[in-house]
Order: sequence, then structure tokens, then C-alpha cells
Amino acid sequence: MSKQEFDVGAEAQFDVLPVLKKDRLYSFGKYTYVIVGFALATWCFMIGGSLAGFVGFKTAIIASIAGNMVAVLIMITATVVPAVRYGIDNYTIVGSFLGYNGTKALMVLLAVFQASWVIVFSFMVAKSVLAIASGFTGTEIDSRIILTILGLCAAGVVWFIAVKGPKLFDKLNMVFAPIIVILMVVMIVLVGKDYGFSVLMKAKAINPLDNNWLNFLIAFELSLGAGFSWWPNMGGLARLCKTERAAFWPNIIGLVFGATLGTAVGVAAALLIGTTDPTGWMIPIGGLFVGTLALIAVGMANLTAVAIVSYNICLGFKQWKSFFKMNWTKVTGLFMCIVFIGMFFAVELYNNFYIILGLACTVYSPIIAMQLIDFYVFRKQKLELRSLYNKTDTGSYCFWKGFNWVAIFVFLSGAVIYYLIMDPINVTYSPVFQYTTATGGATIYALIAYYVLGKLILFKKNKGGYGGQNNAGYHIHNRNGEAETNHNGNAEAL
Amino acid sequence: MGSQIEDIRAELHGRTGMSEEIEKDLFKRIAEIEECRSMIKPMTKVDLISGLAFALLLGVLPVVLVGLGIW
Repeated sequence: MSKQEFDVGAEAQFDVLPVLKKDRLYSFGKYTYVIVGFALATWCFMIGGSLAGFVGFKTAIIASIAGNMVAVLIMITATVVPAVRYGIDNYTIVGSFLGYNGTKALMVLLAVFQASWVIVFSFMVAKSVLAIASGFTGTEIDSRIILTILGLCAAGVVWFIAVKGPKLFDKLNMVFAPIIVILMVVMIVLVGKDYGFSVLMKAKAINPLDNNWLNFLIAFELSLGAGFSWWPNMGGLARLCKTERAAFWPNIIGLVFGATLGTAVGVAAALLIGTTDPTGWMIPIGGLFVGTLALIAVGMANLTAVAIVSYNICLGFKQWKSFFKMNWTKVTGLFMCIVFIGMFFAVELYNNFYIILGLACTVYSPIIAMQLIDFYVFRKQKLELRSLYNKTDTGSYCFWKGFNWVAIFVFLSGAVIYYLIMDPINVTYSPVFQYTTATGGATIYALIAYYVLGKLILFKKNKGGYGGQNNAGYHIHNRNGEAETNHNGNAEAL
Repeated sequence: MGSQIEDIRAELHGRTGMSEEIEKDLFKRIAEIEECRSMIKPMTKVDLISGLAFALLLGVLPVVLVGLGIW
């Protein structure tokens, strides 16, 4: 490979240009490491703690696998398939149904959520460092100033990893993903040994409702929400996979089975020890050596995980002209400025994080539903790359000056529908919840609403290229890998 | 491929928000993808059937079994 080709490939990793086959980094195995490491971070323990509020250990695992399986399959079908097929990131893809300005509006909202994750995880790494120091010295260290300084250092490491990008994600997770999987299994065994597996299996939920079916549904709903909430992090890395299969299945392995393993540990810790914060239970359960090792591994997984979060959101920022012209270090640096400032409020954010999580839950169902309808139903799996990169009113995907008001209406009303079915912050629900769940209800609503309104308004007004899409040359291949149309629309064998 | 790139350039030049140098690279990449020269291996029917089976067996069935009180 010549130096020039190498540089072009490296550039593509940090830009929104389509990534060609020769520039792709991830095989099935490498991407599996990346996704397993990404999934097995502290979010699993937090979700596990939430599930333990409503159901016991066995039911939590059933709900976690079922909810994540359904949600992750739907989510990756909507995001990963177009991303890997065209070599483009998710934030470029959503321009096909949100419009190029609608995408930017969504980015502002997502940037708040993603920055919050980076702050909270950096803060948790800081807490881990203090827990390890306390374990070794036997002295309780609880200083906000020290926590903030350590949190800033952790955020600095996140920035470094995000700047280095996908190649470093792969290297780090090849080391830490297997270690974490082994440590999680060891942790469950140790919990079983210390407390007894029968005690774990019989442990009652912390704060259940009277109705067991509703308890299960809430656990299922939380798992659906967790599965959908990977959405902002999809596409950016999937476009670097060498085959569709290599981009698809590792998500099932990592985001469903890997995440469920971490969730199981979180549920066990919450039920038996009463905390979901790994700094509070890893050393007491694992002892100083195993506990410290586990905290270091989880800390590294957290840093890599939020570096992947930062990488994806910063790729999205490149939708803005001013960001596009900046080099990668500056783009990520600007995002990290928000994180560094937020780190001074990390304690408050950490204590009220459930509010941000709750709000985030309402956002993803309508977006994923519209992406499915747009790509599979309206566009028959054909995207016009030229229109995706055309940021003026001359492109097919400009809708109304870059805003698709139909999609924006469905998005906002979908979020309201979710909220009406279940208030994710206070966990109150309407009677509809037990038939559809909130994520299910909002998704079904958005699927139907976008389909009907799309046909009635967008197709009739010929907006977004829906009415008379130019298919010339944009359909790459059919399911058998055969070319269906070339640029002139003629059948052509590869 | 040259004419393809020219065609893309005529349609997109100055409309992408990118500098001229990056636009050139973008046009080359779009042309390669449009001409199916950068095609990646798609999923097979086995993948699709397996995905559906996973969804039904590990996604839907457990909910039904819990709902019926079997689990």
C-alpha cells in the first residue's frame, strides 16, 4: 500500500467521506472485540441496578436478553446495514429522512446526552481510582477536588483515545474485552460462593410493583430502551467493517449477550449488596487483588467506551461546514471542552443522571422507526450518495430548506407518545403500557405515522426524492451480491 | 470512471461544504461506489433467517412464556 493510499484511508476514518472496501479495518473478529468491550462498561451495571428494582435475578436475565435482542436487532437493521453497505456514518445517513439541517438539530440534542455520558463515566473512573487507593491504604478518601482532578485526567485519556480513533479502539478492546468477560464470570462465581447461588436466585426485587407481569414488562422495557440507546454510536464504526456480516453479528454478541452478562453482574450486586456502583462492590466481592484488577479493567472499558461515544458524535459534528474544515484533534477537542467544563458539575450530574437517561429513552424509538421506513420501505434500500452529500436546496434530500418537517413532527409526537405511555423519569405508566410497552408503542406509532404522512405529504409533494427517486447507479447489489443496475440503469454483472 | 467523476463534480461541486481537495476525493469515492467497484460482501439468506430466528426464540418467545406464566 502506498503512503498516499494509506493517508487517504486514515483520513476517511476521521471524516464523513464514504469509506471504500480497501480502507476498511474491521474483520468479524476485530469488530467483535470492539463491540464487546464497548458494551461491557459501567452502563450494564447501571441498567442491572434498575432491573433489580422490579425483578429478581432470573427474570432480569430473561428480560435483558429478550428486550436487548428485539431492540438491538431492529436498531442494527436500521443503522448498520446502510452504514456498512455505503461506507457512511449514521449521521450522514439520517440526512435522507431528516434533511441536512434536521440532522444538525438532532446533533445538538444528542451532543448533550453524549457529553453527559463522557462526564459520568470519567467521574466513575475517578471514583475507581479512589476506591483502589482506599483499598490499598485502608483510608477512606472522599475529596471532591481530588475526584474532579482525577475526572479531568480521565477525560483527557478519553480525548487521547478518541483522537487516535478506530485502530486504538481495536487494540485496547482486544486486550480488555476478554479480560472483562472473564472477570464478570469470576465476579458472578464469587457472588455465588459468598452468598450462595440459591440466595441469589431467590433474592427479591428491591422495590417491585404488586403485579408480576408489570414488573417483568418494566424490566423488558428498560432492556428495550437500553438496546435502542446504542443508536447514536452505530454507523461510525460499522462503516469500517469489511463485510455486512462482520458489521451485523458482533453487535448481537456484544450488545445483547455481552451486555446481558454485565447486566447480570449489576443485578446480582444490587440485589445482594445494595449498590450498582462498581466502586462499591468490586473490591468487597473480589478481594483486593481481583477487585482491583476488575476496577482497572472496567475503568479502561469505560474510557474506551466513551471514547467511541466521542468518536461517533464528533463524526456527526462534521455535518457542519465549520467543523468539517477542522482537523480531527480540534473537533474532538471542542467536544471535550464541554466535557471538561461539565466535570466540575459531575457529582450533581451523576446524582441526577436518571433524568438524562429518561429523556434519552423517549428520543430513539421514533428515529429508529423512521430510519426503517425510509431505508427499507420508501427507498427500497437505495440511497443516493450524491444527495446525502449535497448540502444545498438542489439535492433530492433537501425537503424544505434542509428540514423534513414531517419527520420532525413524527419525532416530537413520538417522544410525547412515549412519555404518555410511560414517564421514564418517575416510572409511572398508563394502562396502554401493559399491552405495548413504551418503546414498543412509540415505535409502532412512528412506523405508522411516518409511513402514512410520508405517503400523503412527502410523496405527493415530491419531497425528499420520494416521489420520483433517481435510482441511476445508486443500488449497489442485491442479496446475492450481484450488481443490479449500473450508473446508466443497465443490468450489469460484476 | 473519469466521465462519472465529471458528472458527479458537475452536480456537487461547491455544494458539499467541503474544500476543493476533499471534494475531489469525495467524488472519486462516490464514483467507485456507484460503479459497484467498492462492493462489500452482503449478508446471506442464512444471516437473515438466523436473525429472524434469534428475534423469535430469544426476543418474542420469552415474553410470551412469561406472559402465560410458564416461566
